[in-house]
Amino acid sequence: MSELRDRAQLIPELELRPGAEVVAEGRAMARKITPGRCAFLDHYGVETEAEYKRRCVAEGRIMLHAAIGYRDPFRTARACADIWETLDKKGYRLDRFGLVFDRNMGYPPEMRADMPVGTGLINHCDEAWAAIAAAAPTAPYYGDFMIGQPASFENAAMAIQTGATMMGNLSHFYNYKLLYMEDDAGRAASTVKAIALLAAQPKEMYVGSNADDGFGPLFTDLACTFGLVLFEKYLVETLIGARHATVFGNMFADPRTRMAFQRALALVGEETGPMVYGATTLYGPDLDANYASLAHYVTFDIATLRDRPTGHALTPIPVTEYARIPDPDEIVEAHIVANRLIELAPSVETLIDFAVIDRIAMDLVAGGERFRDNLLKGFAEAGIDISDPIELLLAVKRAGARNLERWYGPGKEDPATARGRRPVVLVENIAELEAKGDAILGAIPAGKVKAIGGRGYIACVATTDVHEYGKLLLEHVMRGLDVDTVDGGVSADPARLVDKAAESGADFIALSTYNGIALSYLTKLREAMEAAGLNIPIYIGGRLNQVPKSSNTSLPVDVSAGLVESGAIVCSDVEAMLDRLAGDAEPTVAASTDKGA
Amino acid sequence: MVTDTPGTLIAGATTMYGPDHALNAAALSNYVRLDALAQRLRPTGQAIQTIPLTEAERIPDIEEIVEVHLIANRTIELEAPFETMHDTTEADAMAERIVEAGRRFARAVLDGLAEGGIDTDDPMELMLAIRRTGSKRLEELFGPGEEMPGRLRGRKPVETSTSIEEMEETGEGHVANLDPALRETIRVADLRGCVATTDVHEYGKILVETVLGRLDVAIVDGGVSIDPNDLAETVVREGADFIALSSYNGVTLEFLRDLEDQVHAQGIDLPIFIGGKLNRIPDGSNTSLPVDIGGELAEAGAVVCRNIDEIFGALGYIAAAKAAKAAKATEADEL
Repeated sequence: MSELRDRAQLIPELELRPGAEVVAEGRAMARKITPGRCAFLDHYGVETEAEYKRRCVAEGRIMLHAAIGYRDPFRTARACADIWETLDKKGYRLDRFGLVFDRNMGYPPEMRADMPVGTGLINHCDEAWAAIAAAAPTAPYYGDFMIGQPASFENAAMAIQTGATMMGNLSHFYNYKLLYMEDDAGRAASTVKAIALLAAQPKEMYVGSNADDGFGPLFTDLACTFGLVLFEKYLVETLIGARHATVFGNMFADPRTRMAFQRALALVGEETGPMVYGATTLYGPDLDANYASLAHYVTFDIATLRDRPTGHALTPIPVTEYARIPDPDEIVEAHIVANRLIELAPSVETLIDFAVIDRIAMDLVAGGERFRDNLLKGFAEAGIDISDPIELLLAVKRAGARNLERWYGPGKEDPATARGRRPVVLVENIAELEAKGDAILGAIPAGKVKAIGGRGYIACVATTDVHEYGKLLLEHVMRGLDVDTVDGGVSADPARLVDKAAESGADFIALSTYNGIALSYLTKLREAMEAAGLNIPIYIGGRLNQVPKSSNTSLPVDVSAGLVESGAIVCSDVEAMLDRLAGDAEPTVAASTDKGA
Repeated sequence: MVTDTPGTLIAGATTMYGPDHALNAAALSNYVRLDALAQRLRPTGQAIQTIPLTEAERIPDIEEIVEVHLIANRTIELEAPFETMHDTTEADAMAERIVEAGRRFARAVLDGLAEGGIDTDDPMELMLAIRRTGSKRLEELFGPGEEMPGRLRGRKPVETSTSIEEMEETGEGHVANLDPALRETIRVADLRGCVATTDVHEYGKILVETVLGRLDVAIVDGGVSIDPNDLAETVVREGADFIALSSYNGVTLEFLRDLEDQVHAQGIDLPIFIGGKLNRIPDGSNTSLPVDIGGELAEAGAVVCRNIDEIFGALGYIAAAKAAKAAKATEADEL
């Protein structure tokens, strides 16, 4: 898809539900679905979290956010209460919890029993929602697998009725795809209906969207990420009449772009942002290094939030998060660090020249506005109805981040760059990822490079879930080794992955996984391969864990042994995979050496 | 530029440390970040010292030393972009004020000592004169700050030392939270407290003095790194009602026994409050790691105060006892 000329390229459907009709339907439901209270609203005597946020800003307080989501909702509620109390005793306040749903919650309620289950929170009954609302005086923020998913409307309705007044996560619509759920038009309708329900509530409610979760990490130009935020504001506010608030932070490791993005949000009027997320890409297996990373991003977040408040809560990520789902003590510890850094903030903030940051922020706003305007103009010219939220959401999703940047990016055209445009503000992660890949390539002995490269391999690379970095890294390394790569997909459906691998004549499948569904996914994949008569090796790497079916702790366990048993080649990292690949190729090396002699 | 001699090291900000390791980790990252920025922008050759998170409670073991160095190294890597967005206007202005005032102080000390007949060309004489005058008197006599009666050292500091400022704030915080009735009991008792340290670490003493001052308890300076016999002498001479002893370096038990002997030899008995880091390496220890001796100190007759707030209760008790004694004496006189 090089250039968008015609609506049919993105929206081939002859009939699509009109957005206005779905909006009306969602709004009408507000007569039945009305706002509930929760412990947080009662404790602080406020109507909404937005009201509370404005109060905090006025008092010069920075809010704090903790992500939590054990499989069992009642255990999650107990943990929320414990964490809040422990911090309260130390004189620190926790303002909100981000409740991390399992992917299973993204399916419509009637399908959930038959669908895959990961490691996250599952509110399987009304009492579960109520227990979380009552657990602690913390604002409940449901982020993952809410708005943007097939169960957008059902989940939003429950959240509203149990005291949530902000909820995520619109950006998930673009690339969080549930297995066996191909109908993105239906998903767009459910998303729009949920937003309309929020729009018609008698209280000030917000649709949150994490700029880093959707297409954000796939743009090479940060101005496109910001432009997509502005696009969403148009969609949510202008077209549906609801309110939009931006989350960001996971992908921002550099304090300059991190602070600039927050200040750019301030420039476009955000004053009740949900939270700035932790820079999780900085985290790794080394806890000491993670301590440094935690203190690093938190320090600069505090500085800019104090200087230019936008209502965002600070999110200190536990140092163990990379290795496992953190336990309550680890969450408390990270919050103590953050609170102390708030106390120490004055010693750092006078040393920051915010003018440097504000110049980047202004570039982001100007570039973002160009991106949004280009996009709406371009879509309109192609015949897409830019006043219809469903059509627009589908068009953006189906175009994909790469095309959107190519077509509408605000950067000057430059054929030498990855997307044909020179980024206004370069995204560090893509550059970092390539550097990491280059480092791996540089460390491989020449013999091994030859062995792998000389075989004419075709690799089908895919991920089991939305986390794409492992795949991007692997593809970069494979290209460097002259291995052809076939895109097996992100959150790839097992049957479709098998089709792609078979069609392309792939020699092996390389699977990157993250979200605790490694074993059940592999089982499904093997079934699909057997059905298709495909017999090629499966290399699997990433976070190889899963919550056992009979678990009473809700904590995931390592499933490497089970994966090996199911016939996969388990790789601890990219290097290990290359070792296995080269090992398989060794006879060829030996043969060619013999010939040479 | 004051000097271009390469510096040795910048010591870690140990006064920011306490028993909570997470708080210490925040403190560590804070000072390492600023030290690293300073060295990047204007290198003076000092190495950055990273203090193990356990330092406030014990002598750190090897892993704990390695741990903070890993944190510090990563912090230095991560904070590299700071160099491109810094603004040191305020810090530079402060540096200039410190240099100017420091030069004035040095000049005033040399002139003052010379006036007092000290041969300021003789390094040994100078060193002795400085040591024997002590930091407090030096600041009182020659400090570059404007004179201001009532303030600590009788002057308005050019730049308030943050540690002392923090100490004063902490002390005020403790007093502010005190039960008003107890506060009044202490105030009217007209107590005299002799405050001293067993070693060179003076912050505990400053904190105690700040608190006692706010409670209208008269303070007798028992000295820093004082010997038990000298302290006993001061106590008797000044007629103190109690001794408040701050300790850090694990020498307290021996010190306490010696002090008690000396005081008793003078024929008096008064409460000895003891606080700070109350530990020692046990005789025969094979780990060389100190253990807590709070229990032993209490057994030996000291009033062990784990924190400032525990002093208040003890003070109230002494104040009440003194008042009762005074009342009895009055009664006896009247009779």
